[in-house]
Amino acid sequence: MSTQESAELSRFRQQVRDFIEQNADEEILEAGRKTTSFFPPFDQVMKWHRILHGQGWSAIRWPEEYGGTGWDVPRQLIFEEECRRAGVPLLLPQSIAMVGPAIIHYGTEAQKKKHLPGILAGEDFWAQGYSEPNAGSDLASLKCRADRDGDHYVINGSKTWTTYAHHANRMFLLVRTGGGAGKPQQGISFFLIEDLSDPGIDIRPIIGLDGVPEQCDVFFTDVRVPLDCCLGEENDGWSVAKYLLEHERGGGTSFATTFRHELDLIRRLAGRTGDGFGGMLADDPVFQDRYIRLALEVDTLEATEEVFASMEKGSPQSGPMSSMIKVTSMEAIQRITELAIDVAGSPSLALQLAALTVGSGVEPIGDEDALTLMPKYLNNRAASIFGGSNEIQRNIIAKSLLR
Amino acid sequence: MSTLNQETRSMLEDSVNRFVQGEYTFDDRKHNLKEHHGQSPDHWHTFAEMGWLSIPFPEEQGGLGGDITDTLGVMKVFGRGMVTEPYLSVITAARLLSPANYKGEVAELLDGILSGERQVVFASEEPGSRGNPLAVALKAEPDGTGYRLSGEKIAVMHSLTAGHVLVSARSAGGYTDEQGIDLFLLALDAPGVEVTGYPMMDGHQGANITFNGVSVSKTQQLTGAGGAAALILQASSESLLMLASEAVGIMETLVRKTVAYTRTRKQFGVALAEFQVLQHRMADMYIETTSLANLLAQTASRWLEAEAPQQAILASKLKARLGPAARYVGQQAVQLHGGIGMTDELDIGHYFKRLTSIELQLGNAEWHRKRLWREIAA
Ligand SMILES: Cc1cc2nc3c(=O)[nH]c(=O)nc-3n(C[C@H](O)[C@H](O)[C@H](O)COP(=O)(O)OP(=O)(O)OC[C@H]3O[C@@H](n4cnc5c(N)ncnc54)[C@H](O)[C@@H]3O)c2cc1C
Repeated sequence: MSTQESAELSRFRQQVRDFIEQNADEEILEAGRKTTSFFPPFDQVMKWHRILHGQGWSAIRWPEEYGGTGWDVPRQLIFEEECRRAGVPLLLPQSIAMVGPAIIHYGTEAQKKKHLPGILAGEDFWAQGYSEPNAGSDLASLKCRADRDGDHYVINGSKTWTTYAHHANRMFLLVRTGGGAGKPQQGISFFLIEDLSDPGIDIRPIIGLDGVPEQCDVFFTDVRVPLDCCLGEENDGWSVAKYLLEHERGGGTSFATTFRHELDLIRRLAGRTGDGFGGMLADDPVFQDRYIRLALEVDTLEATEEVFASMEKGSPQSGPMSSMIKVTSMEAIQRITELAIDVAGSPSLALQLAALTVGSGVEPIGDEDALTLMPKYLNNRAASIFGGSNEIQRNIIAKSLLR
Repeated sequence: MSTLNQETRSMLEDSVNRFVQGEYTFDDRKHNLKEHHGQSPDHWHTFAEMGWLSIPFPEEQGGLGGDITDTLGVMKVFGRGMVTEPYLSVITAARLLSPANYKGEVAELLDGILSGERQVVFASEEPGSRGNPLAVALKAEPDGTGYRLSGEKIAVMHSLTAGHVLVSARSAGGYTDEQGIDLFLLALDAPGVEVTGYPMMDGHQGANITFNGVSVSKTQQLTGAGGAAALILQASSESLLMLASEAVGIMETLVRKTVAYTRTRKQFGVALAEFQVLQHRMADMYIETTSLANLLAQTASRWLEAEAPQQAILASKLKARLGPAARYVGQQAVQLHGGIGMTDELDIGHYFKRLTSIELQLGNAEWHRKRLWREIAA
């Protein structure tokens, strides 16, 4: 932090720094260094989640009454800055930043009691079952069905691109419960699925273009779930889905802080990479210009994130604003990863899956800082696709402008 | 323009098309990557038999008598098939052996290369040399009647199946000086040569090669002392030319496949191709691709009249233009496919990765723009 900080905030910063230093072990830090996507290595990030929970710090943006920290925005930011500084992995968003807030907002007392503690503690991990093979951008056309049968629903259908479903023990799911009439958004319900080990659920990992399984296909065959798994009203799941998407798109974290960390890495690398003419890349005005442009994009993003953080979610302004954050943040990180591979050059072309695996003990070929750059570039092409593509976000913004 | 007659050229084009369509489907390629690290002895044998390895070599050396521009048709089709065999690497390296040095051991090696029995690759790039083939720090120190080589080469392509390597080394002059660079031919298993091979993210094979005081004799030196810059620039220019043709083959394929996909994939009750923002994106992909193809055709037509320094400039222009075009087309192809474009299962992501790799090899667009500026300013 460059500008002066009040003594109180400085003490807070020191407290966070000390805690991380004393509690993040080498395995967790290695996972942080080897993270190449928005979804860090599962076992280690969950381990870190549980450690944070021990301190009461796993849900920094939740209200205090639900086990959140109750920190104001500056403290949230300081916490995230210190996390990035130390290099611990970013917590997985699906539980804490996505389904958690939806349960807090829409859940019955019983649902809150049942689900929030496991989310906070990092005992449960929830996968997001929205997309289907034929319902991607057009999410409302989803076909996965749930039919009532006595005091149960019976689910049949499939989901796809479900991130980390192969690690998850819980899933939030959009299903069609209503009949055919009306708008496609009607008749959708939002389910909280507690048991993914049901034999009727078949989870198959999909290998990504970076060579790693991250998303999954999920198939449901006659899966019986109790009626009270429905979050919000039956057939009105679309409202819940949209509320959750605002959290997903707006980010449950400070992207700006994370991206700054990436820029630092690139600057360090440029400082020790030759420019092919006998100088160093960091001294090259073309590099400097690109770097500063991106740093400014990140600063601007931070300003928008601050506005969004104090906005009531589910309001007419918050939807388009979350879309704006989605577009600007994801395009910023895409450009940052482009700069990264441009700086690293051909050494970033080596495929080093073993060296990237936490605990493998395999030494990277070439500069260790360069190890993750190509996987990050490749993986982050998804950033303008997931969570609703950037084309869809621009449609949403345009629609709100032209309304 | 081409040296070969029209008949030979269309024969070559037919044969390479038949090969890629018949034996190098996406599944075949996957199998080949798994079984042979993408460098299959059988395929290489086919390359020799079909005459592709002989294209840019003089007839008196057993070649077809063509020139480097005659390989561009092959490279374009290889782009479509994402062929990972060491064609570009071996051809551009072998051309350094011909014709000035066509005698004794070198002649034997070149014969072996044309018949598909042997392979040679060129180790040029070093840490921090970017695209500059004259940025040579690897040392050649006089030692008795020969030299000792020490230093590191990186991103050496396809050395996996090669027996020999050509290596640039500096015996005199400053870091990027033209004078003082030598080119040595040596066996990859020579004492003191340490090869760290790795697969690359595009399926090709790469290696970093360390030279730990490797002894070489004067007979292994391809030119007079310190005078290898011209040959080295030739290899670099010709590699860039061939890479550009491969890139065009890939980009044309991505445009075609993306257009086809958006016509069949439906969301919101209509084909994706109905959305104007996507139409414009595809129009831009087409514009980028066709512009690069046109620039390549023009470059090829001017190539043979150009002297080596002009060829280097033509090659830099091509690569500088290729970078942003390849990046745009590759990224948009993935984007317009949505989630499926991000998978290992579909070919789109693999084309994208190969394009990304081509962008970064032999100097990225930024480096080549700087080189062009230096040319203008000089
Ligand atoms: C890495 C990754 C992680 C994901 N994780 C999850 C997850 O955990 N859970 C989950 O449910 N889903 C997840 N998804 C799915 C994601 O939400 C979808 O991929 C996304 O909504 C796009 O859908 P699609 O892939 O079917 O593409 P399509 O909808 O087929 O879109 C293809 C292209 O057409 C464009 N397009 C579509 N409609 C329009 C329009 N009206 N106007 C202009 N352009 C349009 C799109 O922008 C895109 O470029 C993930 C996806 C990825 C890539």
